[in-house]
Amino acid sequence: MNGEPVIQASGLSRWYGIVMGLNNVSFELAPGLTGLVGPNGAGKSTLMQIITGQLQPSSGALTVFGEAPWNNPRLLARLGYCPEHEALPGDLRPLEWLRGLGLLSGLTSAGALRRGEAMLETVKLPREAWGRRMGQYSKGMRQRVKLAQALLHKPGLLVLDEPMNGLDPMGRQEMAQILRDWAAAGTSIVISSHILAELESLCQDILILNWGRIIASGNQMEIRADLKDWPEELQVHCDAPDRLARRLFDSGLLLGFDLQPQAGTVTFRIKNPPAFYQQWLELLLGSGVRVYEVRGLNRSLRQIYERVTA
Amino acid sequence: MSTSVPVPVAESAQPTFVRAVSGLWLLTWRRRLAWRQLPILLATVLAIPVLAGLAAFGRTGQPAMFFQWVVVFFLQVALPLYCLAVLGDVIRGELQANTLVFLATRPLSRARLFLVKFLCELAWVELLGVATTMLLLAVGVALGVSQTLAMTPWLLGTTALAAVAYGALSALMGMVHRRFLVLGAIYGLVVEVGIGQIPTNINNLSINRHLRTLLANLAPFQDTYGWSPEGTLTSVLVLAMAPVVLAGLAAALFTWREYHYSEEMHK
Repeated sequence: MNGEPVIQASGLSRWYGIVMGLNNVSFELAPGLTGLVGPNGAGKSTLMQIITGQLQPSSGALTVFGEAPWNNPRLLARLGYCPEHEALPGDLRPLEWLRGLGLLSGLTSAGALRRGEAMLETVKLPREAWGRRMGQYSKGMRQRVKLAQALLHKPGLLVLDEPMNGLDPMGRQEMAQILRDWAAAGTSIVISSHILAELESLCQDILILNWGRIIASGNQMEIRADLKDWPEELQVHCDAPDRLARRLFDSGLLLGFDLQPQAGTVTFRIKNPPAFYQQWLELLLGSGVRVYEVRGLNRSLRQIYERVTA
Repeated sequence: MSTSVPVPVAESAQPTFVRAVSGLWLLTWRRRLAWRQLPILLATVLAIPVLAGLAAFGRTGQPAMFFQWVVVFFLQVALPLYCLAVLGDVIRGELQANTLVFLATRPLSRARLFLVKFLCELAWVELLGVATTMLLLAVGVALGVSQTLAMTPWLLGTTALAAVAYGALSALMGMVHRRFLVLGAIYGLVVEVGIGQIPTNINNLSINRHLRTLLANLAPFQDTYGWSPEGTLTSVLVLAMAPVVLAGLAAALFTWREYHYSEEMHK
């Protein structure tokens, strides 16, 4: 881990009545960009709300920069939070809202206005939209304003719950670049997203949650290396991909396959790599197909995610 | 690709109380004065004075008594209901709109956040209460009610105290339960209509009873209703001090409980 952990959790649990949001999780998050991955109901939002002091742990402890977040204004001054939902005060214009929030964050009136303008430029909200009330905004514009309010007071830790929702591909790229810039300037960022490919390219560390438990955490490369028995993917370019696919699938060694007949390729998802590779050549020769290329594919974050949450 | 604005280094800041109040006040009045809200705002301020004027227009009977009845109705019924609607919603409104998170993640303690929000909403109610009282007084002048101008300072002071007392009680009800309007109705029936009418010291629990004591310092009200001004100082103290206790309790509740959106919406 690089540097002191930004967030530490020990035996952290959170219940909503009889429903368990988080179940005895312990972890440490290093400075930098960390992705929070998990299906709906995994406990991502609960964890983020505990980190930002909106919820209290039912048991266990969580500290951010060494302090408990609940009712801790000194710590909240160092946190920025962008919630998942799109609710904004629809009767206000963005600068009015940011100015008010800036004052609540300890800025002067002029400073809050100046910072609000700067942050709206940072998140690339078109200037012509600044004069409109936020109730008229599209989903993507709301996401940008929400990010602006989170950045307003120069937080040391940004907690972003699905910030890419509603953004077009260009908007996602822009948002990813903003986050990279802030991370490079020393702000730690915890980001959850269902767009796993983006987290993969954005975050060096990931935390995978499912059913309120941590399934895997740490550096992406370390997680991949740790999970040696995971299914590999193998792409084969040959003259009869459908015949090869049928032959291998019948052997019971595959989780599945994807046929690309026009490209003449088939991609195999392997159930048990040692058993598969033991029989691979025999099966290949027995199929009678002419093979042009065999390529091993790297595991993506999506594959890791699907595997550990299966 | 890179952003056009230099990325700042992290820093921390906590607002002073005055700065926090000015920030929330800015958000409060901007929202209240939005075009969409204006019809509601005008209806709230103008309804009672306009209805009073229309009802009294052309009457040859007793405009003074009618005017006094309207004033009492405003202070003891309309203003408490408005306080309940606005200040009962001081946190619940943000919670149900799912915008509380933007305030609750600012660098203020939860108690301070509650008090700042309460003060801003109370200031708004006070402004509307004073505006309505002034319009009512103008109607009184138009009706030719004697001593209307002389009553102005006392009536304005009574309105201000009534708004503070009912406001703090409403805020506490809002923090206790999301069905604070039901709580308010129960309180009105039990305390104001019931206990407040009992001619023993127990009626000190009633806010309206203290308002009646204050209004009794004005001769027209004393003459019309036979109320006694005895214990005016006590009533002023109660109306000034009880809100401190009630708002303190509400702030303590906000510090203790989470007031989380998902729980609020799934109850």
